[in-house]
Amino acid sequence: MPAKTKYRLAVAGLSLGLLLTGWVALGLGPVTLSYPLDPFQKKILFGLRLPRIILSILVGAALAVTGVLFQGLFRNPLADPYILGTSSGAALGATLALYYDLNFQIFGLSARPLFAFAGALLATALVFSLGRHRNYPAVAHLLLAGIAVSAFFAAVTSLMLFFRREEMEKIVFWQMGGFAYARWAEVQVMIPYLAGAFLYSRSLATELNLLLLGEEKAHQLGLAVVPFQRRIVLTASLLVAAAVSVSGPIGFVGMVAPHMVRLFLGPDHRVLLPVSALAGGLLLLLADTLARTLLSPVELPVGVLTSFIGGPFFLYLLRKNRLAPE
Amino acid sequence: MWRLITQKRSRLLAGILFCLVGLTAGAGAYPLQLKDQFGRPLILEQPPMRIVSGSPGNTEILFALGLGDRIVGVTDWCDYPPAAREKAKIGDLAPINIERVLALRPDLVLACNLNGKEPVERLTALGVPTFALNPVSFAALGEAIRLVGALTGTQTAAEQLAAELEAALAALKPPGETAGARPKVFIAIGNDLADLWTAGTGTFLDEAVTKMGWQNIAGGLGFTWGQISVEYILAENPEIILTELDPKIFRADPFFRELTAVRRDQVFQIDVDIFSRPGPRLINALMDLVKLREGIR
Repeated sequence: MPAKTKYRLAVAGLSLGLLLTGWVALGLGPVTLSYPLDPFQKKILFGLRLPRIILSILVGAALAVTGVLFQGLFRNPLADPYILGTSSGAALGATLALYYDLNFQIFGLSARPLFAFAGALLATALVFSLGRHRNYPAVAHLLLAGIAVSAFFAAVTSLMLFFRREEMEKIVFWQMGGFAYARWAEVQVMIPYLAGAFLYSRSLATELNLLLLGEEKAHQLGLAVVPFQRRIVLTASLLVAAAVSVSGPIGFVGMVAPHMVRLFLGPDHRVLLPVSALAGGLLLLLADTLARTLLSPVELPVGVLTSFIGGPFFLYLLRKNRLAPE
Repeated sequence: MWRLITQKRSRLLAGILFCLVGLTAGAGAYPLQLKDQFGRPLILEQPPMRIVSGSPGNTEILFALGLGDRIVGVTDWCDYPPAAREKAKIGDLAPINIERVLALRPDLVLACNLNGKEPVERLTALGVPTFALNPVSFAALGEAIRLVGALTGTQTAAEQLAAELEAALAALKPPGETAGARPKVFIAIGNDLADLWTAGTGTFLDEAVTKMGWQNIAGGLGFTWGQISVEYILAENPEIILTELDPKIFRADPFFRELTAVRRDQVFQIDVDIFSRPGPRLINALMDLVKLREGIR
């Protein structure tokens, strides 16, 4: 099958999957719907379920796109959206908001997501400036700086929790991630970052393909490597910071969705970026729908379910691919 | 009926014990054999003078019985009464740090269900007198208080404290016959509406509101502490909310402000921390709940 057809099939299939799953998910929940909808049911449907569905898709897409960008930048299959310390920075921000018991709202967002966003950006900025080596952000240095900053921020968070132990469970709950009370305000936060990243992704994609050949080759082929790496870090960090601030750190999606797509469609970033976004969105929508319906009305942590369905599925793909190489 | 009889019997027993102690000037009751709340026997040759407490609840019970001077070690979490902060620390609740406990040379370790089974067994095997409480309900807490009283020769104080607890529990019962009308209550824990969690069956909060004739919307869902969906809370439409959050936050939220509890101004702030530790401060917390009920329509 030609690559172009495969790409179109993947986009069509995943979009259809998203629509169908979204439609089914709209009908699921503790409140049973009956037509015509009364005002209460409308409120549940359009005020709670719809924003939650859309938010889980947007966050899943953002995580997957970040995964692609970082895996491309580091040329490392283990890179995930939090590799530059984003989640530990966000956790520190969220903990600060808890620690000082901050309660204010800006644009319908409370202190905690705002602090989480700031913390995530701060951590990445720190990693990026520390990871520079003779004005050259060698990726190995970035990776190591990411590990160091993550560990340091996690230690500060633990230290703060040590003095406010009664807050420990709250931050543990937050760190499991989820969409328990997703509203349109959170959706509005995600949209500009995701839209920006998408508009930008075309130009990033071609350059990422060059980078696949190695930094030196890419340089010889005319890519200004350092500024490009900086642009990738900036785009990816903004995206993942927005995601982590509205949903907490959700694992697995961002690392695995790009690999799933790569198995089918190969490493071309022009394909990988949009298709991974769709796959990540679908994966997280599925996981969140299960998280809220499996034990309804009990909410399961969505991060548990992303690994629970994503893990075995990914193993299956890997195995199948090894047995029947194309 | 049974409850009444057992209660009377235990009071009688405590009375007899007290007389015995009185008769023999406090020494004759030892050696003393008692079974702890996991059914493990313990023999004490003499009154314990170096006690290590394995939980904040245990520490509060010991202090309330006037045994503060005999405590030589507490957990990192023991912050009440303030004097507890001055005591040597043994570390976390679970797993209990055996070496640090041994270093304090205790003649009684008052452990609890949260310390983990193995460390407690180890301590016993190492020859440290270890007595485990399992205060998972108000009734078990009353029993635990009496057991500590018997162990330490403070039966009178223990009996009084347990009786106060039982009086507070009795006061929880709804006044008059309110058959059928069981107001729904939502226990909102956390400090942001975005991830509230709640107390289910098996917690003191759930037991207290159930005894008050209220219905916990998170009861019987299979968790002690957990998260329930906002949609479910809205559908259940609780008439009462007990929370550590500022009630303002509920009034400002477009969804929560529609709840009967919020519209009737029946969102009450409580100290959840007290309800999560089985200790004597629960007595006052229960009395506060009784008072709070007066404001409910």
